[in-house]
Amino acid sequence: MKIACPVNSNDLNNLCLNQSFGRAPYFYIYDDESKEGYITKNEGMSSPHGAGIKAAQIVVDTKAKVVIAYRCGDAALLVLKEAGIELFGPISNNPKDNIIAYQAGTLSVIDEIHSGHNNRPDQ
Amino acid sequence: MKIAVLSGKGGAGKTFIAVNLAQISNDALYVDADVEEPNGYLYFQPTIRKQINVSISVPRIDEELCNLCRRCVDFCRFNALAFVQKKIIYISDFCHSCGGCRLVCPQNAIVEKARVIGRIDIGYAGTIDFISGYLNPESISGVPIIQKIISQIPKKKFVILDCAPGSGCTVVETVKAADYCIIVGEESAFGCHDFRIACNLANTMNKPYGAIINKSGKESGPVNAYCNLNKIKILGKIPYNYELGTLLSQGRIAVKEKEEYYKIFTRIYKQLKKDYS
Amino acid sequence: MTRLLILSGKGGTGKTTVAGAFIALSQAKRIADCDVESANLHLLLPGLSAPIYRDYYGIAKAVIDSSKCIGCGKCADNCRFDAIIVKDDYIVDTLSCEGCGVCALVCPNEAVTFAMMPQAKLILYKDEIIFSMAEPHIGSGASGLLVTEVKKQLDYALESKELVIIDGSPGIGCPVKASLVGVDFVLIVSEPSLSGFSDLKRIVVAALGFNVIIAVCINKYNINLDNTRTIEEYCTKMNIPCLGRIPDDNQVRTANDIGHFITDYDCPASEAIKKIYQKMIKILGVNYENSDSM
Repeated sequence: MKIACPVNSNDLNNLCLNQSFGRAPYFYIYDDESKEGYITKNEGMSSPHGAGIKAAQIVVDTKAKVVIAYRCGDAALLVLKEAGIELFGPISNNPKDNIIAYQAGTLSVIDEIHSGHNNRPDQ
Repeated sequence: MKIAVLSGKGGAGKTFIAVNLAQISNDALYVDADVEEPNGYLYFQPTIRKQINVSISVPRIDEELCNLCRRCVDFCRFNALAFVQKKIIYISDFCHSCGGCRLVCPQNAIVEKARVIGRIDIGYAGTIDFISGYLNPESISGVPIIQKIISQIPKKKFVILDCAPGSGCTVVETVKAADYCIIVGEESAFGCHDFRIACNLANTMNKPYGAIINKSGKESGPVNAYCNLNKIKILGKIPYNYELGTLLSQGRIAVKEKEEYYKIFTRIYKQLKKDYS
Repeated sequence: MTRLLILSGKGGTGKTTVAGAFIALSQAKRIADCDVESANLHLLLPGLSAPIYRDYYGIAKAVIDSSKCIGCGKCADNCRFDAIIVKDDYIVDTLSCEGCGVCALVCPNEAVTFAMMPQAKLILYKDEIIFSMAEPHIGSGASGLLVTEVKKQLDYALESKELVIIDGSPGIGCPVKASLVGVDFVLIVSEPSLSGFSDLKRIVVAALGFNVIIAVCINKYNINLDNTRTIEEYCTKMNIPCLGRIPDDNQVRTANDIGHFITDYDCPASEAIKKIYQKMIKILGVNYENSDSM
């Protein structure tokens, strides 16, 4: 099964989770069967609008089943959901640590963006 | 005659000027073309007699005819289409309604249907006719709403077009329809910087324009100096007044309440009519 | 690394004045002006010199090669944006062209290509302060991408202990959402007018979708005390801290006009902003102050 993480650079030795999804320059795709990972460019990054959709399409085309990211836009999340891909929130900005945490079952699913008044981030 | 009221800056006083100029004319048509954040209705509290939905054509994919070749997805430059789990998803937020997906589909599987992106309200407030555009928050472009508004404007009317702030595509579409531009400059360094941007826009679009300087002080300020230097006609100056701020925050129309503003706007209106009838 | 974003919803509420004051109080060294359609922050920052310019290209726009054009008119017939002008030749009106690609699709002779045209100038100052801003060309407005590029120029390292201050865009569209990505704290500068309150509510809804601490302050509060109280009640209901009220103060106009931070002066607005800054720092749990600046 493949896991996708938006990352800052294409340096496999220096992976850092990007704060965005649609505007991340690259995605790190990890295959938990072959235990190998590769980097793919996010062509959606340079769209003036709707970058998240293009990024979601790129992730769908890699056949990933899981995305680990800080957030993504609601339209992008819709595309991921339609494709049966789950979005999990990270525990740190290190993709590899997050993958380990996912495999241990300790990451939380992000089920909806724009949760409304009653579900605010803790202050 | 259609006059666009614009400013490079938000908060310079466009709506204040547009509303009061319309009111003073006594038979103008006031048009609120700031379709993302229309505020004119707060002042006029108009009676709305007609509401027209504004739609754009958007694609509908017939899943029976679709062979999943995804040419539509690959064609779309706005990322409004995605291909997942053996079906095409359409995301209306980003669709620019170009019609390209329908043209590129080899199966004729895409037809067009109307999607409402906003509306226009048509009404009146006393002797002032009123049109306001409103863009639904999730929609991407107000341009079709501006186009619809312009199509509803009767000829032979004194029309004030209250533009959106800035110099983006909605403003450009509004100014396209104008015969003349009033550029509102807030008399301050920030205001002057943005005033120049608005002047550039009017120049680029080859529209004649004049300035109204808002929040002016006793001495000449940067906007005044800029107008003098560049031979821009100053139609009028509204002095800074603390109480005016309170009046406006309550949604009141200054020319109806204060003699001072009645006089200032009457002067401006008469000058405009004289120069450009 | 703490990234502070200042938003307003409505234009003209005093966002840039407050942003400037926070820059002065915190001595922040990385600053972005994402209010690209009305960029004013640079007028307050001292000693900016030797800017580095870069072209920003948004979406590619159509170009017709007249040597290949056979004048069939299919492009103009199919263009939904009235962007094909027919005079002696067929020419694309770049201002109206949305870059959809339909003209190229229908052209029987491959006379249409797409070219990236600069739609804004990205500007970066790299001196004592790293300051990033942009100037869109006429007809091009802000876009999510442009705002992202402005922020990217700051090139900060997440592990550093710096404070980054971002002056945000007005409105609630893509540019605002792009400015909200990857920030830790957003302060909404509102004003007590009917339009100011309605815009505040819309911004709050947009900001809630991001993992960010939200706070509000009310500028020019004395213009309308009733509306000020309404805003404060709204904040309480939404569980959003209202950090304080700033009075309308002539000194702000004077200070902005000569490019000074309001906190350089001893006046009611300055005092109010300093108190708001202190409350914000408490919530952030850090202290960036240079003690000299107070």
